[in-house]
Amino acid sequence: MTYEITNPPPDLAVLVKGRLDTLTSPKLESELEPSIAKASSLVLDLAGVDYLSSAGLRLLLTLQKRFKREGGSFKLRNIQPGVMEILRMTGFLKILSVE
Amino acid sequence: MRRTFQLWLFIAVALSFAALFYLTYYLQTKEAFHTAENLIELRMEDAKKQIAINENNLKAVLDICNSSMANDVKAVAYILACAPAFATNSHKLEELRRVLGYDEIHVINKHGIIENCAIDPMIGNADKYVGFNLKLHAQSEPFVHGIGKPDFVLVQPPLPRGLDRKLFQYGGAARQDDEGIVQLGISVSFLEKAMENNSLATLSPGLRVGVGGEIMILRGEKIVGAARVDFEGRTLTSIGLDEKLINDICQGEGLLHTEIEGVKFFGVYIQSGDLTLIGVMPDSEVTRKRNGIALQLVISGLVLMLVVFLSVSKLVQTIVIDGIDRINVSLGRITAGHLDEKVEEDRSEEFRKLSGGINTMVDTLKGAIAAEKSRLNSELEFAKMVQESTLPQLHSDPRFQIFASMDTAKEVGGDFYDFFRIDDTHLAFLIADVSGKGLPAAMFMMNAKALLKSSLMASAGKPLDKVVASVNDSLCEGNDACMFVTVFVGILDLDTGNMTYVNAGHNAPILRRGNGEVSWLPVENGFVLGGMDSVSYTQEFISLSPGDGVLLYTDGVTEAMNRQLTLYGDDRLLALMQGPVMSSAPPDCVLTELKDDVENFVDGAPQSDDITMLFLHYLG
Repeated sequence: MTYEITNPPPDLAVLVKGRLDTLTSPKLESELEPSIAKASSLVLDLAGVDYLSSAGLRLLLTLQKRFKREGGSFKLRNIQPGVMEILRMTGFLKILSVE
Repeated sequence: MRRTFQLWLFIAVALSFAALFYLTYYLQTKEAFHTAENLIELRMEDAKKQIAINENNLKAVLDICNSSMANDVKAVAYILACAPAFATNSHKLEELRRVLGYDEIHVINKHGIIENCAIDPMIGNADKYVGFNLKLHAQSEPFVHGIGKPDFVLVQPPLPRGLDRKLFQYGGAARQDDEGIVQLGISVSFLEKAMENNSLATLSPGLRVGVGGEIMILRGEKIVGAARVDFEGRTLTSIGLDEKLINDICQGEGLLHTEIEGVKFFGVYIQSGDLTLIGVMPDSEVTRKRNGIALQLVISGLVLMLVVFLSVSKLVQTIVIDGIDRINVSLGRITAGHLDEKVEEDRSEEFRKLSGGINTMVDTLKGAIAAEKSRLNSELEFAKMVQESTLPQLHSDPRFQIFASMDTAKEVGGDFYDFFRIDDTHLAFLIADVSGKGLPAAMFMMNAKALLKSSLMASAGKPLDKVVASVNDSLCEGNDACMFVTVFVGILDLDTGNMTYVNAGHNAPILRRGNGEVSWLPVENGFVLGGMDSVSYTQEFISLSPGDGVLLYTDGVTEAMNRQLTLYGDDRLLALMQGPVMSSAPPDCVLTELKDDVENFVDGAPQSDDITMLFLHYLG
């Protein structure tokens, strides 16, 4: 998993590539923490993400709850078909905003 | 480390060799010049002696000549007294001259005037001399003082005379017959020979020092004797010495370093009477022996240095570096995880201690790892126990059959399933997958399972979607870790075959009709439980006929991965179930067949998630 901050806070935008699983999700979360702390909105570009495990889902859930609590916005963009299927099946599409 | 050591060893050995060489070179140089100085001084002493001998010889010859002339002139005075005719008669005097063998006889009166004289005709005419006043000439004037002194005798040293500057000697004595002087004169060319024989120049061959060195004898600044004949008659300036050095040389004694005609010389100078002696030797000759010694020293030193370097290097290699290498090899094995490796390097006390230290450390580490492992194992065992202890049991019922299996991964996952009768006609069954792994997931699983069961047991008359929504709200309370669980739950009316179900984020089950028709069970994908409160769910209905079955499973099945990192996948699952075998397989074989197919697919790749499945077969 690699990522790239394409737009700095407060309108944070991050491009993520690779798998979001048990190992990489906590890493992404902790490394993005300083930027997220300053962000009022976040767009995660999942163009390069081809697999999302339950740990990845948990990360999305954590971010969704956090921005909702603080009145910010959290959106996903460029979701790949495999990931889209997981989001659809688990009902995450019902609670997440997708561009 | 070996490289560094060898480098420093080389530097140390090379430095000591250089120091030794320099010291020896310095001492040898000093010694060489000292030896040269001694040699030159010795040769100069010899030269001084030779000069003295020469001078003495010449003096003896001169003394003999002088005394012979003194006697002769006194004899002439006596003859004149006995035979006065000799004084006045020039012929008589000429006869006497011939007899005596002198070149000139002068008879001088009391006024210092030559009255009579006899001259060798080869030299001159006697008439010219008569009347010559002795007082008028510096050479003859001293004789005037003898007039009137009966005992007067004077022999002059030979002096150059005339155009050819030949040596000529005069002697005189008081006349006995009258007041006046009688003089004898003689050309002393034989003395010239004697003086030449005894001149400093004749010392030349004896003035050599070594091969290229020599002694130069100076009178004033002029070289009057040297081994090199061409130096004779030249000045120090003309052979290239500078003025200051020439001043020093002419005034005292000392050592010199100079260049003569482009060659470097070392030398000694001393004063000897009115002469100055300079002894010189070419620097190259002085240092020839030293250079030979230096060359030998360099060769032997290099050999010695090589021997010392190689032997010390080899020794250290054997004693220290090999030991360290062996320890490093052992350490490498230990680092690679072979904790049973023992470091056994015992060639010295230090290595024994080091080996012992490492072994003790590894043992301690092993103990700590074992302790941690057993702690972890007990935690995992406990979690697994929790997961497995809660598997449901049911008394057999003619209206349905239910089969379930769960293969947990090495690390405890969060799958679970459950089935129980709510009342005599309603069977509740569910399958779930908790996000996350390990003890926290197991605890969340326990909680979810208990909540689901208690809520479903008390659900009589309530819509299933509301029951699920309330379970979700309960799970959301205090769920700071954002754990969640996907659940598929169904309630089957055993009398009618009507099935009510809710899917909360779980994989869609597969419906197998008794006629062999297999398809996905249509599901509305609700949100997972525990993720967010106040979420609503949708309950759906389907009617089962006797012989129909529903297959529930977790993503451990569809996401099972083979060594090529390919997922088993939904399509493969549906295709298998639709295949001729599975579409009509006996209910008790469905799960084992499916499990076999998954195992064939992964082909030994390690299992990363729990694989859980449940098959409900409705008999009516």
